[in-house]
Amino acid sequence: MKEYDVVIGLEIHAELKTKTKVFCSCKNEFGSKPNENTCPVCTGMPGALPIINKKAVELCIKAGLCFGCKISNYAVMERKNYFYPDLSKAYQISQLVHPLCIGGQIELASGKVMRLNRIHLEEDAGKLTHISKSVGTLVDYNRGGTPLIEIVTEPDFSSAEEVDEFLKRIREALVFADIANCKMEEGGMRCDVNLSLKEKGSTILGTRTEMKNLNSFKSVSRAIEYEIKRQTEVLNAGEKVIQETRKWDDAKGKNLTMRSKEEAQDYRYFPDPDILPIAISEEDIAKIASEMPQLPQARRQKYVEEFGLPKYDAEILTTSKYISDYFEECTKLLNSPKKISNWIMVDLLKLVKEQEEFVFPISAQHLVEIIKMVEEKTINKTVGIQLLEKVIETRQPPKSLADKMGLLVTISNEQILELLQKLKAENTKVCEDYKAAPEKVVGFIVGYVMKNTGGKANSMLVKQLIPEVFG
Amino acid sequence: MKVDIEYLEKLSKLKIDDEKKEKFEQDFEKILAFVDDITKLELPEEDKSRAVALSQLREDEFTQKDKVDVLSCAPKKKDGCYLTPLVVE
Amino acid sequence: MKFEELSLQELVEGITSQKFLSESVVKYFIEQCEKHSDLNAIIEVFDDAIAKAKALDEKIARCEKVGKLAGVPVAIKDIIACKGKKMTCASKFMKDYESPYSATIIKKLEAEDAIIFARTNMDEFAMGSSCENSCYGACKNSHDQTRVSGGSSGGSAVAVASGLCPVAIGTDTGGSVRQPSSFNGVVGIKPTYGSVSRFGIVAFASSTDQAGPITKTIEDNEFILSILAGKDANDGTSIENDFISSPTKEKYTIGICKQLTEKIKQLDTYPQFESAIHAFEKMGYDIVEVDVPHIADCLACYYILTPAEATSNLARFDGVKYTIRSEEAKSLEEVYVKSRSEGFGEEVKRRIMLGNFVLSSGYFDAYYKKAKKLQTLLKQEFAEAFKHCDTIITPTTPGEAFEIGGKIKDPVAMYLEDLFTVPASIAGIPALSIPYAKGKTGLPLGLQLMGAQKSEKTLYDIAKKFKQGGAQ
Repeated sequence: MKEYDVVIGLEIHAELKTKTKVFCSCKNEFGSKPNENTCPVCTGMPGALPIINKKAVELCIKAGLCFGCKISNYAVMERKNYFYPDLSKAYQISQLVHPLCIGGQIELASGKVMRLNRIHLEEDAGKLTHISKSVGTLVDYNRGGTPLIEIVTEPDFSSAEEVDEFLKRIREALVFADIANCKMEEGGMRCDVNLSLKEKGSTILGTRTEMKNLNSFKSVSRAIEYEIKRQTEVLNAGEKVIQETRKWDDAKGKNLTMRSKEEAQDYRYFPDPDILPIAISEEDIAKIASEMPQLPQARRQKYVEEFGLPKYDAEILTTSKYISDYFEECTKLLNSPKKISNWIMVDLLKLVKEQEEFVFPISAQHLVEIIKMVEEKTINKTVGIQLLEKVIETRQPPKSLADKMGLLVTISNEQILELLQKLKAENTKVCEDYKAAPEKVVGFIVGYVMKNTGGKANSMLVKQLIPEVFG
Repeated sequence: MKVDIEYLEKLSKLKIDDEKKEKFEQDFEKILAFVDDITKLELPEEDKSRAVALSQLREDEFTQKDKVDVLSCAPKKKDGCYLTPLVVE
Repeated sequence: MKFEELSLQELVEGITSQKFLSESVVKYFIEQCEKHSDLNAIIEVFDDAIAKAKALDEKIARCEKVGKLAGVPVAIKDIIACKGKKMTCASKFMKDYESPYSATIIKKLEAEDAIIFARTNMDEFAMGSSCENSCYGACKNSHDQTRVSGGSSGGSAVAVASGLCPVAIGTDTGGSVRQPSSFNGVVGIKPTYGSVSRFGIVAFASSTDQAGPITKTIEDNEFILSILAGKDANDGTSIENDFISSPTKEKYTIGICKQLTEKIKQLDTYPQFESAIHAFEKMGYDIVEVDVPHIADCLACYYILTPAEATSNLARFDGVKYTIRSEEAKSLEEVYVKSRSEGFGEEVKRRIMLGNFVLSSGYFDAYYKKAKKLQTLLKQEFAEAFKHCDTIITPTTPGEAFEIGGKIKDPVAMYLEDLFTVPASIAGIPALSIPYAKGKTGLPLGLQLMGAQKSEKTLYDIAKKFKQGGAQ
């Protein structure tokens, strides 16, 4: 049996976060009644004309900047012509010859660089609901005209793992830069996979198939594994892989032919005469770049190299821009990254568990105040956690709240010395043990003081005072 | 030039009546002969001057528009949607 | 009173000074439409027109401020969307369509208190040069009913020429305002591309479509265009064109295109054209020969670019959303193919298929891309030519209106009708057609004045002075 190299390229679509659609000022949102968010433009009524949304163009450029693409100074919208009921004009406005972003790359953890071919802007189609043979198919154009970017990669991938990591990198960057929500399950991000096999070491590419309908990261991986296996079997049986589009069926865990090459479409692209080409100046690009947040990969590097955090912490803290920004705000107020990281990862994140979009129920200032109090031993960690809960509940500043609640350490040196004297008098064994090996009983002595002060004594202070009495 | 009328019918979603087909093909070839001259011309590159600056494009603001009943002329509709025969994917 | 003999200014003055009512004016023109229904110029008179006129008269009686076109009835080509009104593009495919919104130019006219009162006949989806490709039947020439009206805006030109309305709006892609205006002895303009919003006008070829007024006089024409023109937020290709405030000159330089001279000399109507040149000479204008080296290639360029755009623009008429749907259609594919095959007429089908040919894989570079490059070159050539003259004049059409049925069987012969009108369309420059002579059989002939971008004022001024000079 022959061995094969796997060659995979991706086409990724993501819906852009704009208020309005890409060619009309209808709302860009879901959940409305069918055809509620439509107008003559997005339903393709006779005489209607598209007017391109500036924000959509800017977000596409921003996506390009995320991945190091070259931004075009001259971009053209083109018509991709084909008939389908979800396409109101019987053409999709997209880009071919002059896309907004060219090239670009993403480096995987392994150091392998995955090249992008381009990122372009286009419109989404409407939604079809297939009822039955007797009723038919319903057409709803609410989604029609939603701005999309299409990210096209070079065929640089050789495994499902690489694709998975790449998609996650794409998603985190787009979400981080506030370009797209990328909710794959809701269709906010879609991925088509082009896959072929070639004989190991050979430079001759095999015939590729295109897979569609991949609605989750998991189905992308499963579909790739399946297709590798399927093509291997075809080739090993001495047959040829047919160039075709295959539809993934997630429930059945396999893919089926959608259309073969003979039925391949002739899209007859040409520049849309209703939309003038767009001139993008260096100033435009600089302005968009200046609004870009630092991306997660760069942040993780900073957290590990500058802040000395473990990689694991850096990963968790960069799962969203919000968490990362919150963390960084805290580090500006208190230069103890690891302590802050612990508080966020252990104590804050559990409070917002499972929530998709959240804000921490406590401001960075207040959190830092609590961390400082614990660090300065005016309260201990257990009390700190109690205080955190109380601050969240009452939204009052931690210091005054702790004061009011009597949580602050209020035991004086004299009181501590008094307790130590008392212990010395009561327990002669401790005195002897201390003289023999002080380190063995310090814990016991501190515990005694804490117990007798309801935990309000400063343990560091107690440790300092022990030699005065027992020494 | 011989033209693949059937392919063009397919792209166009049109069917030319059989009895008209012959004349249609003849006319088509005459038209193509008539426009064919320019395919031989040596020409400069296409003009890129008529581009619009990014800053001039439409702002991303929702504007309340006159409510338009987009379905008012639909030949078939159901539940607020256009209706087609069942689409087999 | 014979209202068709009044200028638009006189009509508006009469109505606003309450010398006569808008209602009377509208009723008068409706009667004319009915009386001359045999011309087949008017497809429908809107039933709310009289009520609208009455409402306006009341407004005037209350001394409220009214617009510049107060009470003037305007007829529109059946391709311009007017909310709540039928719009069929003279296609049986659209026979039941009522537009749920209004075109920008309709809103502009209504804002000036014009009464949109009728829609006019045309070639189906504006494709044709004779107004014979209409599901309502051919529109007839206002001077001779055995002759064509010209097209595609034939109904609009005939309606004005026959006194069925004081002004009509047409659309011009390759000559569809100018050629019928020439055939019927009226004034028609194709404005600089982008001057008049295309929003709400069914697209034939987006990069060359422009609406323009058809009127009896040059003054009326200028007046209406000044109302229609202007940048529109709903049309990304529209431009600001404040032509009305451009300066005029005492004397102009008239250009004759060297590359067309031979063709013009061969025409039966050459003597008339020659006498027009003499008239300009008598007025003391310089006549210069200018070069537009590729002007003869415009027609080929046009018959590549416009079908390409049309094929895509007309794909939305698919039997799903607003056209009729074939009753035989059982599957989605049948909805498309049967509805479109039944719905579209022959010429429209021909152009859709031609467009698909030039766009299709393997031919795109040879045809479409070549034609786009040629368009760039022609724009440059015209711009250069207008450095040496204020206008380039040609006959609007090769000859008089031809007989109904005369060219309909031969598409190429029909396309040649557009020889002189198409160059301005390709270059996106303004071109005005004015009646200037009679042909052999006594039918009107039009003189075309082309100008540089946004030079409408110059063209109108030259035309006015030519008319005055001709009267001397």
